Amino acid sequence: MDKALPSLGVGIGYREPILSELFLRRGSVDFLEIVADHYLDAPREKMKELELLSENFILVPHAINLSLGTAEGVDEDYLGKLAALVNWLDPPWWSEHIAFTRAGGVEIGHLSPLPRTRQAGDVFSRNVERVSERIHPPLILENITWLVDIPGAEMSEAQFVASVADQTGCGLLLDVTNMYTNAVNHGFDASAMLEVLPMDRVVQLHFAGGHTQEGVLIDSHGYATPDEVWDLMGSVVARAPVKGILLERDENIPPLDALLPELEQAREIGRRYRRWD
Amino acid sequence: MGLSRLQGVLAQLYVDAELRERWHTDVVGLAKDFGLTAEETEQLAALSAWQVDFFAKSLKNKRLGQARKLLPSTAKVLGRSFAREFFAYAERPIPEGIDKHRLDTLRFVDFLGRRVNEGNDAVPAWVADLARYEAAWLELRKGRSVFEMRMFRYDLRKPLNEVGVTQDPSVPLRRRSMAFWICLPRGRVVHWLFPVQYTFF
Repeated sequence: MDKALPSLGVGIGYREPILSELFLRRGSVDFLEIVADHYLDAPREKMKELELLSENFILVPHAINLSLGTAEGVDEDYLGKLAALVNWLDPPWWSEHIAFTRAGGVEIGHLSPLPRTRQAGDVFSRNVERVSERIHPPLILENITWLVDIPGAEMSEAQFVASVADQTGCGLLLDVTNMYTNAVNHGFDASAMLEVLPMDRVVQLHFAGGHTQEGVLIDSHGYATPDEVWDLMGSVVARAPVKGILLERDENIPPLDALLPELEQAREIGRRYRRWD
Repeated sequence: MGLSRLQGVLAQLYVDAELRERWHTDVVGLAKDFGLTAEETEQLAALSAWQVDFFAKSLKNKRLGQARKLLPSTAKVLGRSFAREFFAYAERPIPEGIDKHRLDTLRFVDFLGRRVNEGNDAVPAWVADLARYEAAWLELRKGRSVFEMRMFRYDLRKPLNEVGVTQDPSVPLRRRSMAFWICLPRGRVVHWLFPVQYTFF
């Protein structure tokens, strides 16, 4: 991981409904994360939107379907398109998930957990190596929420994430909401993960609020961030050289003004630990 | 279990309701069909049925959420029936590729049309027309066509005007209508929707 990554501050995941407000509140948002997949094979108008955003904000691409954990290897067609986009944007870093989204010719449609085994770590590392040959900016890896506990695990979630980061040499995008969600759903202490995760590799954080369905906490990115996630964020920022904190909001998107207090709260946490001014 | 084989089985379990049912009732037979060893069969059997079913349901919910966003008027008019119809459709896996949610939604629109043709009362015929109307916008948004034309069995003008202000717009007249879309530079779209007066249609 490149230690010289710039400190970006506080950002928000770009979604079309907030486009015009972003320009009115430009001073409140230090960077934007774009979902890379929205700009692959995109119509000309969508690419113009991207150009406009890139002229006014620092953009960090976030890919969701590279399926870095697939044993059959990454989809070269998808990789080619993603590489063209990310290399063109030339961001300070870009991100993908520690997950698989397709296997055996079947598209799952969402991020699925990997078996927490050394074999899965090796496959993941091999795929990252292939991707790094095509995409030049540094890749950081995000922890996901998981509902299915795959039998045969050789390590805990935190150990697996640490192992993958170590093998690939990538930085981490620590989603503190995902950490909290998994802790609630599977009955462990999220803060205990911080003892195992390589905190010096944490580059960026994600946060959001979810909802409960049939007794399961879902990371729907549709609600205000709960207190427990704010506390966890504070603990992470205190220990990790975080360069950026980003709010993800995908459902029930309110006017941007209603989200700014959450950005300000995250900014204050970064300031408290001197991650930025 | 070989990782590749394990991932292949998991992916199918997550998206294929029939395979899941088989896994619930006959995991040994299923494992045999996949050529799994005894150890691999045990691993497959040790998966939590509740977790797999919940994850499968959450995958469908995600697809439903995308379809709702892409067909807002149809979703509003159908109300709860939209989810019921979508779940009936979503027994088949999501299409592959970058454009999967749009393709998934377009296939769902075809499904609604088939429901109407089969005489299913849950989907009014004019709502299937409304879905096809919204699907035309999805085709245009992809930017691959500069011109779209659709014929409808109903005059959709009134429900389209009303759907913004009420969840229960009046049933339109059964009178054929036609819509054209032409894409202009700078993302502008010229669009006409009008009743068809002439018998040659």
